[in-house]
Amino acid sequence: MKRLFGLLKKDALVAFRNYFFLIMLIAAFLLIIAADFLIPEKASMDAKVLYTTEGQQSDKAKLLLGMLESEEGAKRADSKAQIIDSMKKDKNTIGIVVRQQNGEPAVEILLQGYENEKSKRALALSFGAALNPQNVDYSSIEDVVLQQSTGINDIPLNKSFVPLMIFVEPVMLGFIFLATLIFMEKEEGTIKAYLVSPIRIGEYLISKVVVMLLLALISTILITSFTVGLQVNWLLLLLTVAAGSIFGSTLAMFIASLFDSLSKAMVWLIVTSLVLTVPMAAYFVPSFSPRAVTIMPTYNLLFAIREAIFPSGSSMIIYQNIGGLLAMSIILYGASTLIYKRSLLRD
Amino acid sequence: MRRLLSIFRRDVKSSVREFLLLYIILAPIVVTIGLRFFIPSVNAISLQFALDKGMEEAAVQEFEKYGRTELLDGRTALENRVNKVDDIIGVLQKEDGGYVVITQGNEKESAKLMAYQILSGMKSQGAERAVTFSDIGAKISSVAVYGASSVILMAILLGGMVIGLNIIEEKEDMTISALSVTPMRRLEFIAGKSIVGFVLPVIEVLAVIWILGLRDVNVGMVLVMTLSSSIIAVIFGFLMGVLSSNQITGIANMKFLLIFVSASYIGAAVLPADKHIFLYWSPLYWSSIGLIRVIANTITWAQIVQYTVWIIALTGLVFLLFKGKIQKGLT
Repeated sequence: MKRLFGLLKKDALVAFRNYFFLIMLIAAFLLIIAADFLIPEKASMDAKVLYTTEGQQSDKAKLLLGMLESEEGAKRADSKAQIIDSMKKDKNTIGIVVRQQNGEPAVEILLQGYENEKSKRALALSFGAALNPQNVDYSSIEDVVLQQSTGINDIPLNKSFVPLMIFVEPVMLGFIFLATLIFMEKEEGTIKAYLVSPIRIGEYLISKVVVMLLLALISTILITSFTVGLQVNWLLLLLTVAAGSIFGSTLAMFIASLFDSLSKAMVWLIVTSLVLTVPMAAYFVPSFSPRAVTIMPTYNLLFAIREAIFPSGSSMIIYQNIGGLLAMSIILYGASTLIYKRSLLRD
Repeated sequence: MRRLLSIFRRDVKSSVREFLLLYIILAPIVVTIGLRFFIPSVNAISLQFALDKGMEEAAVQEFEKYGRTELLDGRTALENRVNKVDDIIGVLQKEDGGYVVITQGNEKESAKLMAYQILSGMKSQGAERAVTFSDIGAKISSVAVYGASSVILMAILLGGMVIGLNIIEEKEDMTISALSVTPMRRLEFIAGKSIVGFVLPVIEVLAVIWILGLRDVNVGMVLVMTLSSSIIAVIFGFLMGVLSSNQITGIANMKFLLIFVSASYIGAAVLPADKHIFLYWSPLYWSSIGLIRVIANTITWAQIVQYTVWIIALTGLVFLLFKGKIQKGLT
C-alpha cells in the first residue's frame, strides 16, 4: 500500500507538471460556459416543417392547417418555391403543400431525397389520418404507460448536453493522458528500473489509472455543479464516472501496450476514442439503436450518466453499466499487465 | 528548393520507417470506411416496435411496413424491452381482438400516435392515397455531411500533428541544433517541415470523397478549404513542436488544441446561427463551417473566398503572436 501511495504521488506530480490538471480545468471551464451561456435552453432537434397552401382550402384542409400551425417547429411559407429554397439551405427541413384535388384536400410532402420508404409510409399514414379523422378509431386500443413521469423530455436543451460533456471530457480524459504517462517512462527507461525494485507492474499501472480517475472526478464535480447544480445523485454519478474513467484508462493502457512509441499509439487512440463516441448519435435520437451501437460499452455509459444526473426511475442501467465496465476493465488490466511484463522481460 | 524537398523527404522517410505515416493515412480512411457503413443505418432511422409473438400475422406485417420490429414472447418480455433506454413501442393483442400499446413514458408522442394510427389504419386503409411525395434531389444526408466534414478536419489536424511530433523528435535527438550550423535557412526548414501538413490532408480528403461516394461535391472547393485549413494545422503543429519539451507535453498541448477544435466544430454544427458570433475568433470555426457547407453543397465561391480570408487572417494573427516563440524554439 505504501508503495502504491508513493507511485500515486509521483504520477500526480508528473501529471501536474505536464499541465494535465490545468488542461482539465480549462476544458471544464469552457464546457460550463457553453452549457450556461451558449447552448439555448429551448430548441428542437427534430426536423423543421415548412408548409404552404395552393388555391382555396376546404374545411377538412383547414383542420389539417390548424394542426400544423399548433405544431412546434412548423412554420408557414409563402410558396412551394420558398420551401424548396429553405430546404436546400437546411437539410433538416421538410416541406408540405396542401391543395385541393378533385374536390378533396391533398397533401404533397417535399423531402430531401435520401429518406427511407418506411419513414415515407409513416408520414403518409399520419397525414392520411389527419385528412380523414372520421376513419380514425382508437376505441379498441388500451394505453399502458410503464412510468407515468420520467421527466426526460422536460430537461432544457443546454442541461441535456451535460451528460454528453461529462462523457467526452472527464470520462475520456484518461484515454489520451494515460498513454503519454506510460510512454514517457518507457522512453526514459524508468519502467525497467521497476523490474529490479519491489514495485509490481500491476501497481505501476494502477497508480496511473487512479490519477486519471482523480482528474475525471474533479472535472465531473465542477461541470455538474456549475451547470445542473447540486441536486443530483452524487454517489451514483461519481460511481458511474469512476467506472467509465477506469474503463477508458485500462483500454488506453491496453492499446498503448501494443505499440512501441507514443506517436504510433496516439493515432489509434484517437480513432478508438472517435469510435467510442458513436453512441452519442443515439443520445438525441433514441430510436437509433442498431446492434453495432448498443453493444458498445459507451452506449449504456452515456445513458447511465444521464440517469444519475436526471433520475427517471431506471437506475438499473447504472448498476448494469458499472458492473459491465468494471468487468471489462479487469480483463483489459490483466491483459495489459501480461503484455508489459512480457515486453519488459524481452527487452 | 532542393533543401526544402530534402527536409520533406527526410520527414516522410522517418515517418514511414516508424509506420507513423501509414497509421496517420490509415486512421481517417478506417474511420471513413466505418462511416460508409454507418450512414445507411442512420439514414434508415425509423420507428421501432416490440410486438408480441401471439399477434396476427397481418398485424405484424402491417407494423413492418412502418418501422423495425422485434417479436417477443409475452407481456413481461415486451415491458422489459420497452423499459430499455432506446425508444421502442410495445404492442400486444388481447384475446377480444383489441390491442394494448405499451410505452415507457419518455417516448415522443408522435411515435406512440403512429402505433395507434397503424392499428386503426388496418381497418380503414386508403386514406394515405391523398398524400404524394416529391424531393429536391439531395443525395447527401446531414449525417454524411457532418461525418465527412469531421473526418476531413481530423485528417487536416493529423497532418499538423505529424509536424509537431517530428519537431519534438528533432529536439529530443538534438538534430535541430545540428541544422543551425548548415547552410539551411530557418525559413527553408519551416517550409520543408510544412509540406507534409499540406500534402497529407489533400491525399486524405480525396480518399474520403471517393470512399463516401460524394460525387456531387465540388472537389475544387473542398481542396481550397482543405489547403486553407491546413495552414492552421501547420501553425498549430509548429506551436505544439516548439512549446513541448517532450512527447508528453506535446500530447498535453495537443489535447488542449483538441478542445478548441471540438468547440469550434460542435459550435458550428449545433449552435443556432445567432450564437455563431461567439466563435468568429476561432479560425477552426471558419474551417468547420466552410467544410460543412462545401460537403452540403450550400456554398458559393464568394463565400469560400470570405472564409479563406478569415482563416488566413486569424491564423496570421496567431502566427504573429507566437512568431518569437516559434523562432526561438527552432534554434
